[in-house]
Amino acid sequence: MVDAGTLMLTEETLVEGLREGKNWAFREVLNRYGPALLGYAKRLVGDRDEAEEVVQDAIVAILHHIERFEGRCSIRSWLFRIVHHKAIDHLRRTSRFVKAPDQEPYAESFETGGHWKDTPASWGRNPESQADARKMLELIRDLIEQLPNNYKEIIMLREIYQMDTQEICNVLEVSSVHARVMLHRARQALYKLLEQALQEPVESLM
Amino acid sequence: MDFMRCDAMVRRLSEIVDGEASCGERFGFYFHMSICWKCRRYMRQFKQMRTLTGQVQVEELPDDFAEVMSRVLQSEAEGATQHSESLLRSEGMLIGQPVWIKK
Repeated sequence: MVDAGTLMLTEETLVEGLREGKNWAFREVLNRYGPALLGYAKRLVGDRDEAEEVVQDAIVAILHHIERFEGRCSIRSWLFRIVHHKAIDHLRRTSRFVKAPDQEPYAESFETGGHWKDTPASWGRNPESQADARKMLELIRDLIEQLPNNYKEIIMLREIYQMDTQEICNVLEVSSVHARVMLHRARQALYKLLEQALQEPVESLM
Repeated sequence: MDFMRCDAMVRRLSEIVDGEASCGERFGFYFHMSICWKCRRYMRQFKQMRTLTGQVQVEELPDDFAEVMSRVLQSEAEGATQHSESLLRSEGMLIGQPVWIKK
């Protein structure tokens, strides 16, 4: 029985525990990664109950395929990759998978010479102020939901789960160039949504 | 990267703020920023958005999530797939076919 000592567990020990079907290893995986996996799935499929179903499917798949884990990436990347596949399958099955168009969100904002056509709008808010920051945080959380699935996903991996480019590549199984381009386009798309939302009267943000 | 063009700056902004650009690129980038207030405003707000996005909370697991999944795991280990399925269904945690009996 491993309990308090689980805090000191290395990834290798954890994987070994899972391979041997140890309950403590399973609980430790849920404690360490469960909330993140559930949050990730929820934002991908858009519904808490469906997200729980996706995570359950993923956990069962993880337990079935633990022998295939070769340690070439972190266990976190591997878990996220499996949830990614399960969530995308779920969205495709329910015809809700939306992919972003293959173009830069700001491609039309510049003149031929490369300068801004219009001045980028000032948001007129001071994020140093707690009230403004809280309202903008709520707005950003809602706007992330409006992004196409592939943009939403890469924004979450980088900004919320703080993954570096290599880890994102391991989760999404894309090249680093592709990941960088997609991340930047996703941020630009979110910026554009935020810019539009902030042009509305201040009362709508209250 | 053409340091005189705003579109080139905006296209590479993520690499700059993520610290993934080369030293020369960063030098050119900040030179452009020193002379272009439109790009400065865009960059400042882009960074604010990035910081706030990082503060979005993750979900909490349901209280009994580990308990139910733990029992599923135990049943799995024992190879009692039918039992696992009925356990999941009884807990209201299985809709449709479970993964391990899919063809």
